[in-house]
Amino acid sequence: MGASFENSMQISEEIRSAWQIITRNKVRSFLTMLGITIGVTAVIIVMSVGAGAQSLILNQVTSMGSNLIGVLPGQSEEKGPPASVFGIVITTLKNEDGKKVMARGYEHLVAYSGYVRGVDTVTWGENKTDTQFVGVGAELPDVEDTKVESGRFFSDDEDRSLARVAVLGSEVADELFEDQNPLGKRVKIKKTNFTVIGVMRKRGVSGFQNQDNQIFVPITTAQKLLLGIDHVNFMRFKVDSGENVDDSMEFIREILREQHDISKPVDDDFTVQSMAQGLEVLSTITNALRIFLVAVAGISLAVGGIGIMNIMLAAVQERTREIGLRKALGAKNKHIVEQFLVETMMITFIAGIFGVIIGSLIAYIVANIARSMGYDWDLVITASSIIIGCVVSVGIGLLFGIIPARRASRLDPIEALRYE
Amino acid sequence: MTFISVKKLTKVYKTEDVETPVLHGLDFEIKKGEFISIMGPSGSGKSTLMHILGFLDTPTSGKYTFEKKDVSKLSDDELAEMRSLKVGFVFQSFNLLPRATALENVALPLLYVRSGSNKRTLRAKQLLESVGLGHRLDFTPGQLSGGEKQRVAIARALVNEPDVIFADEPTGNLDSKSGHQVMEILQDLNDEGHTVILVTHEKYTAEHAKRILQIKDGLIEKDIVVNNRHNAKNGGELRK
Repeated sequence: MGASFENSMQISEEIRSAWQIITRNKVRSFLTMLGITIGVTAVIIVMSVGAGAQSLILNQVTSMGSNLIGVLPGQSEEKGPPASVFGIVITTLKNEDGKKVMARGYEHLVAYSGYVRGVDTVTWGENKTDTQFVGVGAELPDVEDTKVESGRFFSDDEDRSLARVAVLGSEVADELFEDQNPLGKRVKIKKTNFTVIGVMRKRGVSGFQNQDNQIFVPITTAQKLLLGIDHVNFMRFKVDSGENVDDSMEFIREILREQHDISKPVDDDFTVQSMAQGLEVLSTITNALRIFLVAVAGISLAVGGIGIMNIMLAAVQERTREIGLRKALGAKNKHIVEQFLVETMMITFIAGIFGVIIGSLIAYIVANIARSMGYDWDLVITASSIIIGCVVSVGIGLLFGIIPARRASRLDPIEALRYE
Repeated sequence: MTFISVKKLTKVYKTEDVETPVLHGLDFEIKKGEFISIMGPSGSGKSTLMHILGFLDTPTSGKYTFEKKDVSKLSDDELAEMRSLKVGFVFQSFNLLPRATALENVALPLLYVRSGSNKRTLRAKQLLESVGLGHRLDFTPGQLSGGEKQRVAIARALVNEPDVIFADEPTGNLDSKSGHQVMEILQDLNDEGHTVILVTHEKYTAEHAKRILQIKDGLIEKDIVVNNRHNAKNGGELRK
């Protein structure tokens, strides 16, 4: 028989006896494994949900269209998010600014809308629903590439004349009116009555929000009557085709600088971004989040590893006599190291398997929940994440098992045999 | 033929700044096939001597030659290899793995030499049968009597076909009947040609051997040839 074959006979014996030891004290083994299981679970979830979220971002790009330009108040770093993302209200951007851009008649800009948002309880008689009301311009269906299902959208004139008219998202219409026809009915938002003139087509989730659970009202009406402001939260321009986006962005910047009396780009009090850039910012944020979560998972794994090291050090102490006996019977130091390393790695490997299973299960549930909420979410559990989970857990066993194993191997056989 | 040779062997235990001399310079030889008792009161150094002879410990000075090989200065791993291939131990407190079966306990030393698992099991089974425990293969130590445990331990000591069997107070934890059985096996093994080194503080047990090395305070007090040794087979009667 070849030496390597005989060596493997030994390893199989070590695995068998490690398995016996692990199954002998199930509660202790379970508690020992917990930290690693949680860590690996976290790794799998982060990798899978992270990939799912990224696929969601990509799906969003295609659903919203890439030929949109957004303008946000306040300056921002090249790829970082503008200040308004962090909840800082900047009031420098007005609806008039956008209208003046359009008034220049730049050929590639086909539609424009300013946006203001608020949240309130909308009532119709006894029926109520909490929803978001959005003040927008008359060109919104064009900007967002959507249509009115029944009735009509409001006109520019209605906007200018502070008309109290509303167009409901399909979900709001269902909730408030159930099977009745909402057209012509009067709903109350912030104590102001609005006449329903239209219901939007069902759109699902897009741009990271449920597009069916909102009410559109004319932007000027929203600013004056509902919010008491004269700035906009952001504005969107639609470009005729994707290749003209860059030129259009530059054009918008120029006009806005003119409006705001700004001579140098560094002094810009607004941020012009294409949809693609906006998504880039989003993925920067999600990536940062992923790194953070991976770090948390890593800490959990390290803590789990330290816990295992602790338990194994105790096990070495507990089995001092056994170690002494094995050495007296001819075990070399490497045999003892092997025995304890195999045991530790087996514990972490089993823990890792549990982590992979639980993590995949949670990722599967998250994907199902996301889908049931209308998000276009791909379930991504890659072979690489499973392999990484297993390799990492075995690696942790190796890393944190080596100290107890070496301590065991260094025991003096005579002392160890005397140990009570 | 000289098998084991010990010259000016000393052992000093050092802890921090206290030195405790245990063996003060021993000289003796053991021939192949001998049955020798190392006898002495507790604290005489007989256990330390056995540990050195059994490759569990190294002498502080002096020379220990085993089969013409100087083993005084071997490394840990070389000592482990000597333990694995050359000697078998029988301990007072049996030292069996409590959760392993008799068969697994006997096969344990084979784990550390190159041996396939089928061969291991077969060999362990043969040895258990030879000590009269063929019907106890799957019993764990807890299910065995003291005498049976010690017989398992003897089978384990034999599994690597050692040149020397060390028995450290093998009857110390046994009733007299089991003690006789164990001594009988040791005498039989010696009759078959094995070298047996017995460590004991009891004169009666020591007198089962053919020669007694009497140790006191780390020195050889007497080196006696036993003419009328006890024969365990006859219930401890003196052998004619």
